[in-house]
Parts: sequence; structure tokens; C-alpha cells
Amino acid sequence: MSNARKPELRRSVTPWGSFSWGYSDVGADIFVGLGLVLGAAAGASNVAFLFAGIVYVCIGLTYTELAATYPVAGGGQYFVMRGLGDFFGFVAGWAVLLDFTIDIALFSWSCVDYLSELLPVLSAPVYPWVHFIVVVGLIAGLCILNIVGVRESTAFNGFVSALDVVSETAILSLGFLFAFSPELLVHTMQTSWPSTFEFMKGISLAIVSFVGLESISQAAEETQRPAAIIPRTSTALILTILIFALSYANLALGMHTWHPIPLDAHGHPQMLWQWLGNNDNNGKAVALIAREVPYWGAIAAFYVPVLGAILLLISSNSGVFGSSRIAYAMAAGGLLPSIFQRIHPRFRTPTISLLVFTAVALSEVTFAALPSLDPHMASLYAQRFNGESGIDFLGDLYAFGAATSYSFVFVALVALRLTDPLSPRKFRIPVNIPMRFRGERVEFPVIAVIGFIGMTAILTFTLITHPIGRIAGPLWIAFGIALYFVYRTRKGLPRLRSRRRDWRTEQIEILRRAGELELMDEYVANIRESDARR
Amino acid sequence: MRAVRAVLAVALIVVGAIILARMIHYPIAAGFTGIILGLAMIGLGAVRLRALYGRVDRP
Repeated sequence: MSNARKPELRRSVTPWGSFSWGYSDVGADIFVGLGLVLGAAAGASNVAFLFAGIVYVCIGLTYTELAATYPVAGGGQYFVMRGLGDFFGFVAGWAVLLDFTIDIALFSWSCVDYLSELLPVLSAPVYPWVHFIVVVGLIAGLCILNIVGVRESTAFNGFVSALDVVSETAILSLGFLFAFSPELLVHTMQTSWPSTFEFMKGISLAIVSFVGLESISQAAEETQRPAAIIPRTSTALILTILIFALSYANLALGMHTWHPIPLDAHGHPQMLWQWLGNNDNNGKAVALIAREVPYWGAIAAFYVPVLGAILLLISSNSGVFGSSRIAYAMAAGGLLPSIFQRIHPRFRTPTISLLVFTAVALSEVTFAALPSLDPHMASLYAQRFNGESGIDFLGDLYAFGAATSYSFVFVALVALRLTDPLSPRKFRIPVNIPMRFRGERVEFPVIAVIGFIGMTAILTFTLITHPIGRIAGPLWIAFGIALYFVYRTRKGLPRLRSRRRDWRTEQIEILRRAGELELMDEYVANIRESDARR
Repeated sequence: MRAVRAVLAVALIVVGAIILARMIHYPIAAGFTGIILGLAMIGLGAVRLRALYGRVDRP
């Protein structure tokens, strides 16, 4: 073994930095998810958010435990590879890659939607070509910035996150104070309750509002004392996002608007949630709801679209950055061809990965935009895909990728609790069943099983209710598995089995690099004690 | 600054408790989302208070 140390990421991310890193990714989701869910789940949108939110709390706690125990930059893909082996690690990583490419496409799309509130020339329904060209330009621009190696700083993320938390708190507090009526909420829920099919669709789209926890585990390798910090920041992040999502959903269903709501396309009066959830407005629902808050709406109408657009752009950028880094990590782990590890000689960034996954995102945007750009395609989509809009298509795939990768992460937690009981866990999900497994005392995580059942339900809802998602999502996974088999066969590596790795040595190195020396000593003592028993 | 944060955390708990007490009287679905919202607010306030005054490792 060589004594030369691998280059390490600098541990400069503070507790607030860790929170804002995650918030700038997950916090942007509600800007996209709210309109989509209102359009699908109607009067049951708050219950759809609640169902997805409970599953999200389970996955959030799972990520928190895993990221605090294994503070490395691989995220879900690393946890699954370690718990379930190379093949499932690849499938989970490949699903995360789908999500990151959708992240790029969906959030750039929505960013332009929010800007269209101030610049009507960017409006997708009125000027589809302008909207499309600007989205493509944004994605290309983000790719170039990432190739050159320019990233938004942690300080900038922190500033935007703080501004957004204050702004959303103000919108929600004033909305509930001046415009909310619990009686209207109950009335809307009773009179506009959706069909079971629409409700399932709403739940599958609600998970879109909670995607992005990968960021905290991605940042784990750069966080100071991750085992102590991640549980604190992650728990706060999970609860903050849950509160915002539930509050927005309840407000949208039970709010008296400041201005009269425009009539619908047929000239009929409509309710707030109908207006927010239609195809023209579902990409900018938070800006519209902010505008309707009495008094504050006069100011919010100007700054919320800009704030939303910035947050969405940061989230889109995290898709460009994250996809290239996950592909790099998967190539380093022998799961993807080494071309994805190739570094630009001058800029020292993974250029091939950046170009490939940006190209995937551009093709997704093109597919999503086709119905609005070409009337023939619109009629074809109406025939084949129930007339799904572009943003719906992106939302479908986002939900599919998230549900797939998160399902594997739940199973990985169970597997790691059983196969790696010696790693010290500073944070442990509550509600466990103590038992013995292969001579070691282990704790079986009940919450992971509940979360897995919930996530499998969401995955099933996605496959049942999304005509494009149920084709494109599994096709993406099947294409990835074919690529994986070809690559592993050509390299002479086992296809379904894993390469041999010394996880104990790797774990000691991970804890040493994290600066968690007490945990490292505890881990070494646990190993000695276990070996002595055998 | 620490005192301001503590006041905000306590305010969050109080607002959560008010929502909890108010929504508990409404029909099942609306009431249930309100209860979870209230509990999440109380939970977040408690997490912040624990981070401020509890025994936690600091980097």
C-alpha cells in the first residue's frame, strides 16, 4: 500500500453552512412542488404533503444517521454500495443521477417561470420559444461555469438561505394572520376532495418538495466534526422543510385572496388552489400566493420571484455539480467507466461528466418543451400521455428517481445496522428492536421499515399515475444496468457480486479524516473486543 | 444573539402549541395536518433550544 495520501476536501463547513447547503437545495423544492401538487391533489393537497412529509421525515432521519456514521461525499450511492453491494449501489447511484439531471432541467425551467412574473416575455404559455431558449441558455451557462470551476460560495448559499427562511416565515405568518380561514380550509377539503387516482398522483408529486437531502451527506466530507454537527443541522432542516410544505398547502386551500382571482379559461370563477395549480401558473405558485397575502403582498410581488429564481438557480447548479461528482465517485468505485473520472488538465474539473449529464438534462428539457413548441407534438402527447405538460413530465421523473434511490437507502440502513454494528453511531434513529445477528448485538430500525413501505407506496403511485414517468424512469434504470454489465464484463469485474473491500480499514480512515478521533478509537476498541470474543 | 435565538425558539413552540390546540377541534384530515404542523413547530423549537442550552458536542 502506498504511503501517499489521497487529496482531502477541506473541512470548512460550519453548522449554519451545513444547514444552508441543504436548505438551498431542498428549500427550493416547494417553489416547484406546491403548484404541481395543488394541480393534482386539489382539496387533499395538504394530506398529500403530509403523507409524503412523514415518509420524508423517515428518509431524513435515515440520511442523518448514515451521513453522521459514514461522513463521505458519496451520499446515498455510497451507503447503498456499502450496505447492499456494488450492483445495488450502482442502481441507487444511477437513480440519483437521473434526479440530478432532472434537478438541472426542472429547476432551470421553474427559475425562468418565476422570472416571468416580472418579465412577461419569459412566460412559457405566451412565448414558448423564448422560454425554451432561456432555459437552454441557463443550463449551458451553468455547465460552462462548472467546467471552469466557478461555484457559488457557502457564504452566498448561507445569505440566500437566511433571506428565504425570513421571507417564507413572513409570507406564511402574515398569510395565516390576515387571510387564513380554517372554515374555508375545511370547506375546500370537503367540496374539492380528489379521486383516488388524483390523490395518488398528488402524493407522488409531493415527494418532489422533499428531494435534496443528498446535499447534506454530500457536504459531510467538508463539514467540521460531522458526527456531532450533521444530526443537529439535519434535524432542523427536516422540520423546517416539513413546516413550510404543510403551511403552504394549508394556506393555499384556506386563504382569502387579497385581489380577485382571474376567471378560468372557460370564463368560470375559480378557487385559489385551482388558479395556482393550472398549467400556466404551477411553475410559480409560491410567488403568486405571496402576492395574495394582504399588505405584504405589495412588496412580496417584487422580491419573491427574484428570490425564488435565485434559489432555484442554486438548486439547478447543485444538480450540475452533484451529477458530475456522483459520476466521478461511481467511476472511482468501479461502477462506471473511468472516462467519467477524466479531469480537465487546466480547470481540474470532471469535464466529460459535466458535459454528458448536462446533455441529458438538455434532452429532458427538449422533451418537456416539445408540446408547447409544436402543435403536432401537443396532440401526440395528448393522445399518448394524457396531455401532460412539460413541468409535469419533469416532476414525474424526479419523483421516480427519488423514490427509487430512497427505497434502496432504507434497505441499506437495515443492512448496515446488521452487518456493521461496530461502527459508532453518534445519532441513531429512535424506535429499534434489540436482537443478535451473527454473534453481535444489533438494533433493528423499525422507522426504516415504515419509511421503506411508505416510499414503495410512493414509487407504486408514481408508476400507476404517471404515463411518461412509468416508461422513461424504468428505461433509464434498464439502460444504466446494461451499461453497468457491459462495463463490468469488459473490465473482468464481477457483475452481480461486489469487489472485495476492506471496510474496517476504510472506516478508520473515514473517521480519521473527519477529525472524529474519539469515534475512531471507539471503533478500534469495538473491533478488538469483537475479535477477542470470536 | 443567543437570547434572541432562544426567544425565537420559544415563540416557535408557542405558535406550534396554539396551532395544535386550535386545529385539534377540526375534522379529521384538516385537523390531522394541523396537529402534525403544530408538533413539527414544537419539535423544531425544542431542537433549537437543545442546540442552544443542551449538552451537545461543539466543533
